[in-house]
Amino acid sequence: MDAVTASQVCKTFPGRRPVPALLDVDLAIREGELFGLLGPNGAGKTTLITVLIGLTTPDRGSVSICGLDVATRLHQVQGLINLVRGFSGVLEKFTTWELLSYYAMLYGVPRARVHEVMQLAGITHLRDAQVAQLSSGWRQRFFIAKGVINRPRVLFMDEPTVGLDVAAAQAVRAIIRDLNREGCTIVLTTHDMREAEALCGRIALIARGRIVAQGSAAQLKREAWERFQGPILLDGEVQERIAEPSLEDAFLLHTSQGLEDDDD
Amino acid sequence: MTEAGRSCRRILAHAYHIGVSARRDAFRLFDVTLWPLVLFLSMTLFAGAFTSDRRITGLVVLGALGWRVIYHFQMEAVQLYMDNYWSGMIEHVMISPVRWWEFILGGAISAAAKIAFIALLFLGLGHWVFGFTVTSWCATLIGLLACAGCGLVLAVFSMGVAFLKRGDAFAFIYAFPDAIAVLSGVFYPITVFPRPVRLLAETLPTTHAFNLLKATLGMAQGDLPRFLATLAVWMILAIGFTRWALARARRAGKLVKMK
Repeated sequence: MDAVTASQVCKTFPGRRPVPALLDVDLAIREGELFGLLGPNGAGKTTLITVLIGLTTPDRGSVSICGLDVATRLHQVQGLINLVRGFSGVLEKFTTWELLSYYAMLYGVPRARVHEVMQLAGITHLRDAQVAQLSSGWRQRFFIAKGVINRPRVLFMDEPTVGLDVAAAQAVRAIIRDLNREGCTIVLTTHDMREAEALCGRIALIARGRIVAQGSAAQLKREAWERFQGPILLDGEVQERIAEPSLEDAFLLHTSQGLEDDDD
Repeated sequence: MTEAGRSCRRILAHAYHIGVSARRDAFRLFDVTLWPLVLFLSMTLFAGAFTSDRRITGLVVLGALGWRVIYHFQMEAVQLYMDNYWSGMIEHVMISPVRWWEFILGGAISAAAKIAFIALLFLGLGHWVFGFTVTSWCATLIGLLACAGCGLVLAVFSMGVAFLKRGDAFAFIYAFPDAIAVLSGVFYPITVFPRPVRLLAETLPTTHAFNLLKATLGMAQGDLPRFLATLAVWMILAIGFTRWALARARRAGKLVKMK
């Protein structure tokens, strides 16, 4: 069974100048998969995540999580998912234990689980520390603890290593791998191509609200190699064909192609 | 655990959240100490300076207490939601299986605890300084519960406003209980108003809740059925509005923190 499916999802944010954010997005993420969602800033990654987790209602199309339709069975879906996000704010004056206890109660899990997730994230020694006082790396570990408190079947991670130093980012990646190994489906957005290549089995590239390519990192690179023969226009400049494109090259080629298609 | 059990835990989670905030936040501490005392003393001393009529003092004591009851039952839930919003954690709460009315009930638990303390303060000071004595504990309790019901209606309505307006909502929400108390004749009969305002005041459950309190002093006619009828109408309207507001907020992506 697919853990996450999105079918023909469209979203335009209303306003004086309506902003189209997602256009006919189709996605199928298998259970147990570590799936990457990459795209330039403003491409629609975060909007897509908020639609998938039911925080934003799409204008058209449908989303289901573990076979449950998000529009009609949101309450059940919410028990199966969780979210880790880079640069999330935290409540002032709460200790890690108190804030995790709050989330444990929201998900109806016993307080003993708080100790388990603190161990998993390696933050047991920070039990009485105020979350707001933690460094970015420890704070991100706190959010991972929060993200797994309900043993989610699908964990959405929106730029979980953003702003972290090398050691902290590596520690977070190790936890992500472990979680996935234990069977948790993970949907990961990141701007770090090496991170995506190292962690994700499959990757979808999104540009201007459209999925412009998806597959394994190797497939995306091969596709870029096959599709973009000869000199290419990149950032408004003619560039020679790339002999062996990296994922970064493939990303730029696919997403800038998406932009050129749009401009047409 | 059954869904009802999980729902109870979520309600307690909100009360726990408010409890932790209250212990560490001077603003929350003043909310149950300094500011109620300022309201209480300014009004009772003002009344006491012009009359020695114990009923007038009693009207001020019970009016001020009823006003605080409405304020706390409205504000606790909304403040909880806004705390999560301002701290950038609202999405982490809203993706959990939380239901909007669980914020209201969690807030009500906290409000009841705070009001128990404030009631002790007001009634104790009222008795000690001004010689005020509660004439009927049962009737007074019914009046205060009526005020709590009004606070819950306002809380439901305010949640809807918070879903739609987010950070901009708070100024309006903060003004609701004060505006409503003044319009409902908190320390005076609504007959002081011009006819159109009086007609509007009569449609408000708060007017009848204050009348229930005034009736314990023999200063108004308490009408419980009329209070319950207006409360039910406003509660239905508030629930309808907030359900609509939540759906609209989801469509507009307003349950997500601003990046």
